[in-house]
Amino acid sequence: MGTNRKITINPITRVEGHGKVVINLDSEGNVSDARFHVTQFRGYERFCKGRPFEEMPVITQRICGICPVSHQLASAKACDAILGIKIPDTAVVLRRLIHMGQFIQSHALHFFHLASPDLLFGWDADPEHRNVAGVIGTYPDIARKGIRLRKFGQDIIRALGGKSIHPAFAVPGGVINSLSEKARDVLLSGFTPSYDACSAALDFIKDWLEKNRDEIKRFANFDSFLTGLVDESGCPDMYDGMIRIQDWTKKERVDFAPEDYLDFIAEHVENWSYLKFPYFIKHGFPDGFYRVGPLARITMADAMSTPKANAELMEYREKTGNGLSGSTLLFHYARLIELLNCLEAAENLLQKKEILGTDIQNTAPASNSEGIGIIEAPRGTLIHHYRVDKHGAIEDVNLIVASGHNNQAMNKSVAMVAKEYILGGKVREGILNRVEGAIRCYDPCLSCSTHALGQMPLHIRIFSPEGELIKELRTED
Amino acid sequence: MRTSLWIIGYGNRHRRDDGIGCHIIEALEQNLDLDSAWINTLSLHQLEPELSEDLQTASEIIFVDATHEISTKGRIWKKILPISDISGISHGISAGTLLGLTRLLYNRCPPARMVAIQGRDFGFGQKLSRFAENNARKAINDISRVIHLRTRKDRLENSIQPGHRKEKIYG
Repeated sequence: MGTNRKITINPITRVEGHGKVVINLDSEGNVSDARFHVTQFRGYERFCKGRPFEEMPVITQRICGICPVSHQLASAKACDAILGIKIPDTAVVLRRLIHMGQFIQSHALHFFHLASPDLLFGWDADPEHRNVAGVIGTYPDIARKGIRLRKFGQDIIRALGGKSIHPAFAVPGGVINSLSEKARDVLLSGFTPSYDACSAALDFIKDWLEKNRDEIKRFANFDSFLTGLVDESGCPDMYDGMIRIQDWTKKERVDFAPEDYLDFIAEHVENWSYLKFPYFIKHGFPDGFYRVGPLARITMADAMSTPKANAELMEYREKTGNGLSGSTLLFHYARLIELLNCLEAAENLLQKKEILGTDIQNTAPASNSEGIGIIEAPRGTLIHHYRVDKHGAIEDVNLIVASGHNNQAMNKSVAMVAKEYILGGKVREGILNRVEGAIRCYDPCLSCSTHALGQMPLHIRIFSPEGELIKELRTED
Repeated sequence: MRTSLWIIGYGNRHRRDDGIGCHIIEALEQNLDLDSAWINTLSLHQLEPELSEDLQTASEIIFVDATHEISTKGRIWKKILPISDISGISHGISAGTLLGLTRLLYNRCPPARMVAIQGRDFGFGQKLSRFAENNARKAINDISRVIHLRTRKDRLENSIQPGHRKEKIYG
C-alpha cells in the first residue's frame, strides 16, 4: 500500500498574477482534494481610505495593466452615483466605446497568446514548444491575426484615452476627451481585418470543438449559478443594466438593480487564500457559488445584442448540446462570440451621431454618501462600492472583481480535472498542464482579484497525507 | 521605399526619472518640425507586442529609455539586437524581444538602437530630477542630430539625379 502524497503547481503559467495549486493524493495515488490558492496581497481597499472620492478612477485603474479601463469605468460610475447626476449621452457612448476596446484587446490577448498554445498543440505537447513562440513559429498567420486584433482594441483605447495602458478618460460626471471626426474615421477603417481575424478564430474553435468533444465533455463539466449584467432584452450588457443570477437550467432566475447587490451576494473567507469566495446568499456557501465571465454571460443570455454574434450564439447552442454546455473549456468558444459582439457593438457606437458630441461631462457637488458602480469586465462582473464622509473623503471601499466571483468555480474546476486525470499516482506534465488549463479558461487576473502586484505564474505541489512534498512544478516569474 | 524612422520613448511617468523616454518624445514633438510622412514618434508606458505590426516596415528604430547604468556622458547609445527566445513574452516586453517578435512574425527586423539615459530618482512623482533633465537635453540633441542627418538623406534620395554621388551619412 502506498503513502498519501501532495502535488503543488506553483506558479501557474499563462495567467495574470500569482497563484498555486495544491493537490492531495490518497494512499492509492488518487486525488483526495485539490485547491487553488492565491498568494498575493495588495490592500487597495485599505489604502484608498481617506482619499478624495474623485481620485478613485485614477487610483483603482492601477489595480491592473490588462483591464484598467474596466476599473476606471466601474469607479467612475460609483462616483457618478455619489455626485447623484446623470452623465451626458455622448459621455455614455464614449465610455461604452472605450470599454469595447478593452474587451477586444483583452479577449484577443487571452485567446491568441495565452490559450491558443494548448488548443493548437494539445495538452501533452512539449512545453518548450507549447507557448506563444511555438504558435508564432508554427502558425504565423494566426499569430499575426491575434496581434492585429489586439492592436485594434488598443487603438480604440488610445484614440479616446491618449494611451493604451492606464488611459486618462473616465472621470466622475463623464469623460475628459471627445472623439474627433478624423479619429472616428480611422477607427472605422480598421474593422474589416478585425472581423476577418475574429472569424478565423471562430472557425478554428468550432473545428477544435468537433475534434475534442470527448475531452471537452469530461473537462470540469458542471452546473453552477451564473451571474452578469443584462439589458432590458436579456442580452449581455457590458456597461450597464440589471444584474442577473440564474441557475444553469433557468428554472431559478432573479434580475435586480446593481444598487441591491448586497441583498443577493455575500463573501466567504478561507484562511488559505487571499481571494474571497462570493456566493448567492439565498443558497449559502458553497452551494450558492456562481460563475461569471464569457461562459456565464453566453449561457444565460436570452440573445446577443448584435446580429452576427447572435447567429454565433445560436450555432454555439446547437453545437454544445448533449451534455457539453457546462464544460469549463467552453469559456474559449464563448469568449470569441463576445469578441465578435464587441466588434459589432464598437462599429455601431462609432456610427452614432452622439459619438462626435462635445458635451461630455456634468459637474455637481457630492449629494450622496454612497456610490455603487457595476460593469462587466472581460473576465466578468466588476463591483466598485464606496462610502464617503461629508467632505467627500473615502471611508469605505468594497471591490469584488471577476476572478473573485469565479474563485469557488476555479477551485471546483481544478479539483474535477485533477480527479479526472490523476489516477494511481501517475502524474505527467501534460496532466498538470490540464490542471493549469482549467484555471486558464477563466482568464483570471489574480493581480486584480487580490489587488496584488506583479505577473501571475502558477506553482503546483503534490503532497502525501503525511505532508511530504512529492512533486513540485514551478515556472520562473 | 521611403525611409521610415521610429522614435519610441517609454517608461512610467509616475516614477520620476523612469519616465524620461516619454518626456523626451514630448520635447521632440513640441520643438522639432517632424515630418510625419516618415518620422513616427511614440510615447508609451511599456513596449507591447502589438508594436511589431507597425515596426515591420520601419527602416530604423530608436528606443529611448531610462537607465541606472552610470555613464560619464549621461547617456549610452547601444545597438539592439533581436532576441531569439521569445517564449516568455507577456503584455510588456523588452526592446530586444520586440525585435525578435517582429522578425519571427514578419521575417523582417529593422536596425535599432537604444539611447539609455541615466536617471537618479525613481521615486514617486512626475517631474524629472535635475540630473535627468540635464542628461535628457544631451539625448535630445543627439536625436535631433540623427533626425537632421536622416532628413538630409531622405531629401537627397528623393530628389537625387542619376549619376550623382550619394552622400554617406553617419548617424
